[in-house]
Amino acid sequence: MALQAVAFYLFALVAVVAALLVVFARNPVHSVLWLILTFFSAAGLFVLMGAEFLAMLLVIVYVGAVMVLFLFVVMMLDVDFAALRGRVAEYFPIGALIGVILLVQFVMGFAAWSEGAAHRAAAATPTPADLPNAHAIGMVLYTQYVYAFQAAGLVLLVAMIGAIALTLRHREGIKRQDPLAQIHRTREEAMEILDVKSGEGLQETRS
Amino acid sequence: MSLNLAAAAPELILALAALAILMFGVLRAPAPAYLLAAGDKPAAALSERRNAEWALWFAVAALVLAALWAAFWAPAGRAFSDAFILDGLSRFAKVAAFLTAAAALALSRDLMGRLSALSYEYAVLVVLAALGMGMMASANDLISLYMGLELQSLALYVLAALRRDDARATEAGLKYFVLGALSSGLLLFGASFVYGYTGSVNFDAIRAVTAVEDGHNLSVGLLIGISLMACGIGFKLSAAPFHMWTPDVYQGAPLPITAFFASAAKIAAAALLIRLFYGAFGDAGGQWRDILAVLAAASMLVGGFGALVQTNVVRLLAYSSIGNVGFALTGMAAGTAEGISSGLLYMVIYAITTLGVFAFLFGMRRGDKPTLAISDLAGLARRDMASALCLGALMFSLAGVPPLAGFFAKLYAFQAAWTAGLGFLLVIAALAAVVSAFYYIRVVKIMFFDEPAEAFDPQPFGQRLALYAAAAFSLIFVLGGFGLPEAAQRAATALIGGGA
Repeated sequence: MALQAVAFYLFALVAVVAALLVVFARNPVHSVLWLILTFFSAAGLFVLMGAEFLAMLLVIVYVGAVMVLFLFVVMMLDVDFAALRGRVAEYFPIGALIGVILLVQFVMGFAAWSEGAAHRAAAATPTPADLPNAHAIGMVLYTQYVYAFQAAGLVLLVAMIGAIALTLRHREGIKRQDPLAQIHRTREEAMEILDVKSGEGLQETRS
Repeated sequence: MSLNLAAAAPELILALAALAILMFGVLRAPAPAYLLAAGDKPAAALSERRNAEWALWFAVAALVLAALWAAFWAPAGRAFSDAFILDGLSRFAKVAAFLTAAAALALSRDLMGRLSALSYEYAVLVVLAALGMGMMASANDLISLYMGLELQSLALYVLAALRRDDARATEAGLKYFVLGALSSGLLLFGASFVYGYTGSVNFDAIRAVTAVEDGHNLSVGLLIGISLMACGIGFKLSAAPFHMWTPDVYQGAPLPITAFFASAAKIAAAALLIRLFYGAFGDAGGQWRDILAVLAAASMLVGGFGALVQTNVVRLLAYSSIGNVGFALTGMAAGTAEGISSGLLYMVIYAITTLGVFAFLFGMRRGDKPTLAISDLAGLARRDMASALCLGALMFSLAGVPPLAGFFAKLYAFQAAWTAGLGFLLVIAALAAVVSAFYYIRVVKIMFFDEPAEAFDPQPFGQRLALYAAAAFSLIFVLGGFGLPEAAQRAATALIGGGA
């Protein structure tokens, strides 16, 4: 039990500190790296809660795929982050004030945790004791939660349509491969048979 | 554990229609421009345009069919293991949202073509946004609420930026997207609190828990959850103080899409608010009524005073929409069945009126360039009496002058607030109504008594017809209101009176 508590505080502390560094790091590439650390810590917290499948998903999907893409984008963007950051100071006092107020509210909220506990509803999908995570999610994902699953599919469809509609453009005047034209090339137009005299080369015969 | 697909048939129709239009667009697309000889390009552009028009009319038909289905044929009930509910409230909201979406889409054909923004993706995105609206109106747990909201919002962000070569449209899309993501974060954070402190995502279970706690000594965590969710929905409704994005997005997005934002999207957001607060937190009314009252007061004041200094008609309408959401929230803050029905009725009347005004704005062009300053309306009465009279009627209706439709909308909302004892809010509402009447009537004065400006380009027939129809609606509403008040009442009793 004590080991678990130590692990929890370690992961939680690392997650919070890394999240702060995401915001405060000077170099955007460093921000992304700190974000990866945050995700790893969150994955550790998931494991502690017994949700090992979600932890693996977080590492594979977010760290493995999304963050790598993110890193590429940040490296390719030519944004002057220092200039963007310069205006942070203007908003810092009010932002900090709101943050502190929110923090106090949440502390109050969590302090009241036990108070409402008696009334809490029974879980709609209790985790079966004898099944591994992935199996348990599989049992309900396509049955009880099929609606949310399909809706998520539609949201992704909109994202795809949006990305294409907003960014795809057929620009004129750039060279493209045209397979049909390639196939239809004939020997006559593609090659030319020349007599090359020794010692003269091609310079004069070719106009 | 039952699917009960029949209850979700309107949504299925829309989803299938969106997929069908996508397939149609892909299969019928002409070859890309770089493969064509220069002589074939005009023909290809023409066929692309014709495809987009077909897609648009198909989308309109699908929306109307979905609305009819929701009104008459879909059996009331729950579907997808209680995640989805079709009752009087969702029926009313769906019919209103789908029909206004269909009207906005049909009206937009001419102008979207002129803006060269008419593509089949446009029709697909509007259908998918309407699908999200239907899902919002039918949400019965926190997950489906969020999925519906996200589906709608994401489609709206893309629509706002659809004219990607236009700097203002891009700005509008980006602003909407960033602030929308923030508000979704707030909403989701609040939802996680609600889940944590009630133990369930299902609205019925949440209601059972809040009923036990008697609505008075709710745990603080649940209160935080309710407040955060109210902030998130307040943003979607563009209620002050979450209204900052509204004027810029309204002005920057293509006009037909702004008309869609101002009509169908507002109805769906109001239905979602009612579903969440009257449904899930129905027994904790004392807690959220104050939040809604504050939002209402702030929105009415911001809408009223903000509009006074505007010179652009679209920005004026943006502030007008903020103010009108405030009036609707005044009714909804009552926490009673009248509160629901007055809120729904307000949003529907507002949507129809504002669609009429937008139909006229579509045609405010000279030499095929938009001229949207209020001063461009000067002397409209001497150039085009019929349009000026109709637009005047709509302005008076928005101002709430009896006996036009807008007056009854305000009357029902104020009645609900009065019987619920929100006297202080009514004082603010009366003040804001007077202030906002000033700028609506100023528009009328400019139209009728100022020196005429140059004439606009001739309006397409459909847009004139929509303007006349909306004006006729506001004028004839006094004779029975087209059964709308009764329908709204039935929708309200479905949620509060217990029946389905």
